[in-house]
Amino acid sequence: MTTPVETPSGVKRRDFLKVLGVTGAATTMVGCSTDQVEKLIPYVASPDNTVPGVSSFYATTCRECAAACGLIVATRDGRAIKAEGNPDHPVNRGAICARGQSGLQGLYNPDRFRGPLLREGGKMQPVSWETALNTLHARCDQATTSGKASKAVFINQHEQGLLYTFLDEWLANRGMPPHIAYDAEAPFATIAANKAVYGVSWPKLDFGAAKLIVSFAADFLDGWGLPVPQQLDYAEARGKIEGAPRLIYIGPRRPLTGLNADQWIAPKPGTAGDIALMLAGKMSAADAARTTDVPQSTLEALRAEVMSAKPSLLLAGGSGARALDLNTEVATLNRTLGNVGVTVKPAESYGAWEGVAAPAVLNDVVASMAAGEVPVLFVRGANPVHSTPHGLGFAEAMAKVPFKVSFSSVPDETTALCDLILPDHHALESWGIAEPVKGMLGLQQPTMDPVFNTRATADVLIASLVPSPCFPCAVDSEDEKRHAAAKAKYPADYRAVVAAHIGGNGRLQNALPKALLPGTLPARVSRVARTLRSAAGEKSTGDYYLATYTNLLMGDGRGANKPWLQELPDPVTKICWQTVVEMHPETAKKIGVEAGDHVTVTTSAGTLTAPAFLYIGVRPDTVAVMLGRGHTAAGRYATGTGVNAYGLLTASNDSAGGYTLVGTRCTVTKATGHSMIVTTEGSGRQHGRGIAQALTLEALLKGEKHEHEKFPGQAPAEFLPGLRAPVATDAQGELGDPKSAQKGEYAPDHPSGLSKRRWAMTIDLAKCTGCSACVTACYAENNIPTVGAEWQGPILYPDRKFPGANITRSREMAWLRLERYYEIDREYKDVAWNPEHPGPEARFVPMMCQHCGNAPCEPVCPVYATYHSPDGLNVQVYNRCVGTRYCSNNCPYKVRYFNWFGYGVPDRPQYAFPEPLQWQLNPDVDVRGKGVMEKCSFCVHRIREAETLSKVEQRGLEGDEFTTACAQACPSRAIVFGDAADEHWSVTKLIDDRRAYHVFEELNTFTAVVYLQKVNHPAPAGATA
Amino acid sequence: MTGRRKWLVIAGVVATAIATTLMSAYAGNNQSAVAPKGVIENATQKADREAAGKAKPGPWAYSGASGYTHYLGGGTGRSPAQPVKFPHPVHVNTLQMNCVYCHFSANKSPDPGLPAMSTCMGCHTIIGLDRPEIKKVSEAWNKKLPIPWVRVHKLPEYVHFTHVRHVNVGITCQTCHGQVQNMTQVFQYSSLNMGWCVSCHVNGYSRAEGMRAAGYQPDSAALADETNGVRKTASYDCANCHH
Repeated sequence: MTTPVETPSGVKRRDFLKVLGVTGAATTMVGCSTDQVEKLIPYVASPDNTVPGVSSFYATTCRECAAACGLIVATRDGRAIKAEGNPDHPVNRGAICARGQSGLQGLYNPDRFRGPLLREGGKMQPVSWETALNTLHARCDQATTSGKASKAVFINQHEQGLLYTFLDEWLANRGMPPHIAYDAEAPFATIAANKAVYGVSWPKLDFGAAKLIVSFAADFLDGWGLPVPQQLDYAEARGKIEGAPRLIYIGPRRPLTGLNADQWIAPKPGTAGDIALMLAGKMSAADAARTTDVPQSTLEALRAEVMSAKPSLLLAGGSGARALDLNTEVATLNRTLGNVGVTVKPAESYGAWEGVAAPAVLNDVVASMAAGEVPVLFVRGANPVHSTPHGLGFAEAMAKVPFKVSFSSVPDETTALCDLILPDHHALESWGIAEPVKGMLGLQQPTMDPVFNTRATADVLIASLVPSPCFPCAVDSEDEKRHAAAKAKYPADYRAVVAAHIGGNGRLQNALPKALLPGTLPARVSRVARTLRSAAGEKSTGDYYLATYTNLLMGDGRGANKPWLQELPDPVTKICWQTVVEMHPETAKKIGVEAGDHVTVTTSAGTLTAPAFLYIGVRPDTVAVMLGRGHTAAGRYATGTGVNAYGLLTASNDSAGGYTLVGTRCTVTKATGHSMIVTTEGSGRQHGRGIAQALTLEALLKGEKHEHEKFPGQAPAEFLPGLRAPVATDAQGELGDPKSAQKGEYAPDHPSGLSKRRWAMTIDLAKCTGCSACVTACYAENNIPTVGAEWQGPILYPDRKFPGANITRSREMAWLRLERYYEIDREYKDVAWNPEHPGPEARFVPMMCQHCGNAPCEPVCPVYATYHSPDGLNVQVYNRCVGTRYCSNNCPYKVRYFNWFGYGVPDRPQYAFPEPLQWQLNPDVDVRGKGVMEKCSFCVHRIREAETLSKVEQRGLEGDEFTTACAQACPSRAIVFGDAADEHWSVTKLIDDRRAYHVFEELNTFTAVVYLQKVNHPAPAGATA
Repeated sequence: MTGRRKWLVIAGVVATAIATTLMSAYAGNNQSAVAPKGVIENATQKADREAAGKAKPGPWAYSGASGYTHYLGGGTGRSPAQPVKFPHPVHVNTLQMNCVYCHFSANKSPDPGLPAMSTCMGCHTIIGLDRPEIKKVSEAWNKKLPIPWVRVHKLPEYVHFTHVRHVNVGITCQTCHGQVQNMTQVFQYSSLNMGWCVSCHVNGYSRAEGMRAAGYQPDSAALADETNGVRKTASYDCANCHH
């Protein structure tokens, strides 16, 4: 185009190009100098002991449940980025569950209140703290002067600590009654029975000492009691292999504990107590068989086993009309069987449930509120509007209270009805104290400055004693004297309260590095309900029993606005972002529905419509629904996700004051509509592929290596992971050519020493319970985006916009997934109910990139974005990846995940880290862009960090010096990571275990992940079940 | 085409271009600098938040070889004006201050560290209070505001570079950063391209060359190494920096 061309507009092409050239350059220069100028902001005064780019660690206490585990929180440049277990802590011993880690998403929740809010003209308006405190002061004064103060109500989320006594003192000073320590998750029947029989609210349970564990509806691996210590002990006991306890689970639905059990006995809902009575000799096996609908032979075998296996450990959970009877009977059985002091240790009690009030206390509160007697209602942390049976009518009664104050830092249904919101700090920003085990105090310290304009509740309460216009008040005025007298009773703030309790500031400072010190808390007394609502009053009818349950992730609903927890599939059903009605396939056939068809469940309290889900682990006469989802005003991830099953519950109490979660009669009918089931499960069975292998103890002792299948093309040689693996020639080009002299860093004598290492991992399936804490640890460590929120779904198809839409298209990004398989030979829909053997064996396999020595993904990458590193890692180089997805197609393990959308780009609708969630991102790991393949990296950044540290300290890597995020978190201690070529690492011993196998080893992939077979403990010979 | 009409078109196109540029510039600024609603923050919090903005992946996160690809040589010679004209020559040459006095974490962290304002004020509460540039520092200090330095050296976010590994094996700062002690205004000395990184990792670092780059006379040991052809090579595995 050298000839000048006259354009129709009359501008010569050459002139136009000149103009374009000049303006183009201007645009480039100016444009770039704006979007690429980065500022480097120094500290004004550098805090002590912080080095930019290196994490600082703070020991503190987890407040996500009542157990009060110890945390080590990693902070980088003043921001908490990762919560890990404190290895010195007596409760969790370094492990941490998925919920504990998700505390960070509460801290950085995008829906947190930015500051105090006051209802003005029907709407919540941001106000200053001064206004908020003065309003609180005036309203409290008003309550006092009106003489109604004695009817005020303070509902506090139950937590261990001094806040318990502090609140009661503050309330007493105002003439108000003591507060209610509320926790919808507490196992009240068990606590009551423990107190009655053992004399403590929660004894230490020694799973390791038992030969037999029988759980009566106590889901001790998924939320019941103190999840982490129970799982640690249980997994350690099962890991012994020989002499490991056998586990029997008794309950109408098979929860995570049931899936881990060697045997599942499925009595009718509410009748487990009869089995306990039979064991105690108070009922004949025939009678028990009749009432429980369990074969008599099964019960007799159980009785024989319980009587012969000593010591044993009997646990009871349950919630229903007879829950307290069951728990008392089981606790008494432990005593008569001689288990107390052996497997049940009241002397080493936990403080988790000290002082918690049974929810029946709310009966009085609701009655009082409905009568218009309550002048002011305070709520902190608890969310009774969502998590009480709607039959109780909490929300309606609450509307009659003239002034309602919430201290919640995140929106929830109860806070939405309040008139004044005084947002509390998040637990990771607060001071506090707990007595997690008897005689040992755990401290809670702020790990960072508050994210938002929040204040600790205790500080707010202290500050509200003196209204600010009165400060300074007129000298010697009555007001001043009154306020000064009121305030003189209190320390300056809550930190001072904590410090005073343990003997001063100096002791506090000295104890903070480990956040542990010996000591006790003042006794806490549970408030007792004056009126119980008898189950006899509730006449719900129908052909089915309703079994609602909470799991560790959602809990009573408090986990719902944390995208990690929404996205993490339930360990049992593998369902996320959705509420389903679980029913046995036979039940579904009877009702005439298939998986995904909507069904309506009706009780006397209400109805619920949700998709049907075929679950082979529930009795045919029972339908099960998980609690915790279905929020109406609890933030962007929770609201509109799932259905709230509390709406189905009648408000009746058991005799311990708990709610009846299980056993209400209901009708189940087909409704119109169909939804896709939001699940990460591909198939529930292994199709003979031997992914999750197991064998019986007997077979293991006989020396049988594999349980059954022999695969065509099976690798005949025994091999160490990756060590003898041929580095894929195609992927390495010349370096993989055996004739080539130039091996580069793959040469064993290369000075970098990389090829001397073989990073490898072992996973002990005998210990793994499928709890999925590792999955969340991986999300937290590796900046993995959650993809299931409604607005992250496919934009072009509005009908596919629903929570979890991306999951239904298998777009979840979990680098590490927890696979769950049943040993069944047909699809779920064809599984028939067999009362003799209700539950097929279930197996769990954590599945992540296997870092194959001979990786199928490597040769197919056209751009060398994935290759095998000299130290045995299958590396994915994100900036090299062009997104062909060939690698994923060729991966036999399906562990490569593709970024379909710009989950890491703030202006995309699919952005997964809305402000300030992105503060949690790990600066050592890339945030991947759209169109990039990603996968487990074996936490390569931790490897590099450890190598750098060893270089700085001029030493070599030490054995077990560091580990991956999944292994760090694992409350079963099933995952071990290390250098398979260096015997100082414990992984080298585990690789040689007699149970070791590689998944798909017939493909000659030479994986670096070695699984140890699960070991089953069938019923002893002579027993019939 | 008449001259008048031509100039009209030119002016129009120029105006449009400028408008577009300004709009995009505004959008770019706006992106990371909006305070969350309802938050009353002090200066430090504001600065912290703005610094947090840098953790966001930019539009360039997955393209190009270095952070400043629009400059020839990947940004070599780039020398943005700084809010305070900090004279490295005075501090390093005249006062003989060591680099790690201010860049205190270069030998213990991946991040070299930027001196806190308090480091400046260690001396400048007494020295040179009447000089205009130091007045800027004092004013900021009095207001407890940090100085918003403009970043000169920038690697893309998918590169995890570790200062400590390089500093601790004795690579002179000037090998990569040039003779900052002689720069009145710091500029980017090296391209920071991957080829530039890898060439040293493969061919090796010569201590004598590093010392010459720093402007010192190599010592006898370094010279002996040079004569013997000793160069320190390093691993060039992708996963050293990309993860």
